[in-house]
Amino acid sequence: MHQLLNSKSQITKSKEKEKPKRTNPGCRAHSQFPVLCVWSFFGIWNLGFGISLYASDPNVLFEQFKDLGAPEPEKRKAAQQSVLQARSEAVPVLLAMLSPKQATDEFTRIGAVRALADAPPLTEQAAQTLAWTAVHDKYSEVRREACAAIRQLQDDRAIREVLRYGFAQDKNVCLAAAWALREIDDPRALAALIRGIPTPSVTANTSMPNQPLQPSYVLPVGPFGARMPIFLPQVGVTGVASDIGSPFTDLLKLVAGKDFGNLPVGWINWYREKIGDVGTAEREAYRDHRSARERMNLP
Amino acid sequence: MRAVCTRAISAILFLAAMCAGAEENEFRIGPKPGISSLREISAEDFQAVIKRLSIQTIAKPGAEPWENSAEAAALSAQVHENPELFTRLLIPPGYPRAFSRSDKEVRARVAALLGRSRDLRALQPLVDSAVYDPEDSVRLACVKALKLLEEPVAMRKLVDLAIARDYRKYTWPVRKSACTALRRYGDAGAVERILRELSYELAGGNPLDQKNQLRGVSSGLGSDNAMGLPSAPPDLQLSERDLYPVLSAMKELTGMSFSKNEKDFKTWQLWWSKESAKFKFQE
Repeated sequence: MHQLLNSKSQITKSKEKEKPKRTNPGCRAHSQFPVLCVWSFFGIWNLGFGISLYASDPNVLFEQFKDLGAPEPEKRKAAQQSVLQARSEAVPVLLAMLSPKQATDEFTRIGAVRALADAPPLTEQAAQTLAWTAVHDKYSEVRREACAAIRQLQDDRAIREVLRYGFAQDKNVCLAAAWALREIDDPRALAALIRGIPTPSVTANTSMPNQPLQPSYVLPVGPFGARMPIFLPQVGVTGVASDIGSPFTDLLKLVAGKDFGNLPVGWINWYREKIGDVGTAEREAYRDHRSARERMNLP
Repeated sequence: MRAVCTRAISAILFLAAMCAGAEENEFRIGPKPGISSLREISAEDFQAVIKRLSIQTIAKPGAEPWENSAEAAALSAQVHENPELFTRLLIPPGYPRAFSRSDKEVRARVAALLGRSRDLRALQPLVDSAVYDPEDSVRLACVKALKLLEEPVAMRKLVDLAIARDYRKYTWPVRKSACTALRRYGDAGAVERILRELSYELAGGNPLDQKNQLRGVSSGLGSDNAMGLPSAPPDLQLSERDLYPVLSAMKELTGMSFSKNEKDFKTWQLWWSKESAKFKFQE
């Protein structure tokens, strides 16, 4: 009996001894270590992914970039830094900030344009947005900043878009585009406009030639240098001229603030003087060295 | 294994939810437009600021200027909270919305404060005072403050005033004052900007100038002036400064004048290409 009791007590002792083994936390963690690893991996992954998504969330970026036009210089610098850090995600948000639907203030929009100009090359959408801003933005300084950005980047797509606005039906849009072109001051755009001016076509119907009563010219072609009258037949001409006006000259007149007519020659002279190709000295030299034939306006 | 699967599924669901949220947000970026609140400023507030400006304090010789004092630092921090309290003190007495006790010392110190604060909201009032203020010391303080703002918009606004074509609204004294402000501002970009405008003003002649008519204007058959009618307007008896506002501003700003070829853009362009590297504004 005693042995039996002893054996029972041994059994219970052995069970008691086994119990702590089962409840040992170290051993349990050891056994579940892979599970914990996966848990922690997904936890950290979720957290990191969540943070990255939060950081690249357009609303969050928008709130950060709004400080580009903050009155305090420290906030402006911090916003510029955040734009530089989030380069690829920043561009769509900056474009959205320039949207007319956004109630962003003047300096925020200026800051957005500067940030776009600091991150070349521009995407197609960014170039179009800059052109739109240069023409349509409600703040004049924002328009000017967009023009400065286009000039700095020499972006052909944006200049082409501004030119396209110059041929719009709405006269106010044409005026705004002309102002923008003048502000951008790209000689290529002006040269392209001059090149686009059509040469007017003139139809002429001549009547029967008449014998004139007076000489057309009196030239020293006679013997001993005698001046001889030259009679040329005179013909009455009636005709119709077309292509007199063109949208190119209309836009050039708005850009230059001067009216050189519809023929390309006047505009070419203006352009050459504007870029500093021709000056007073060249004009005077040309005038003084003209041939006698040219002075007489002969063809 | 079951726990791992559960976590993986939850992560995928979380990812999908975030992506969906990002897609939705594309169409509603930013806040809705709000209504800005207007603040009323009492005369006591202005008095308190003037008192803190410590105009009566006589500066000891060799001491640091007031702009670097602790009081100035505290006031410049206050500028960010309520800039209008300070910008209105810039307006000379007698002008609309002016405070009657903002004399020239007050205005000069307020300008220095605004420059120290580097608050962009002070830009337009500083530009206005830099040109229109009757006191030269205040105009100088405003230009110094504008330099501290480090904002190119200030230079552009001053150039706009210097080359304004509306000779009735912006008379020559106003434009000359803007040129002086630009000279004090000391940014060579202003010369380049005026030079660009000068190319438009001088190229091809001036339709308002009887002695320098437009050159190369088309007329005759095939042109839009088939009858060859003269296009010059009657002589408006305008002075040279009103006929050529950009040229006048350029001469005033740079101190340069080419007596015979001054209406020749090429001459100005050649001069600037030589001088731009070493150019300094004259005091």
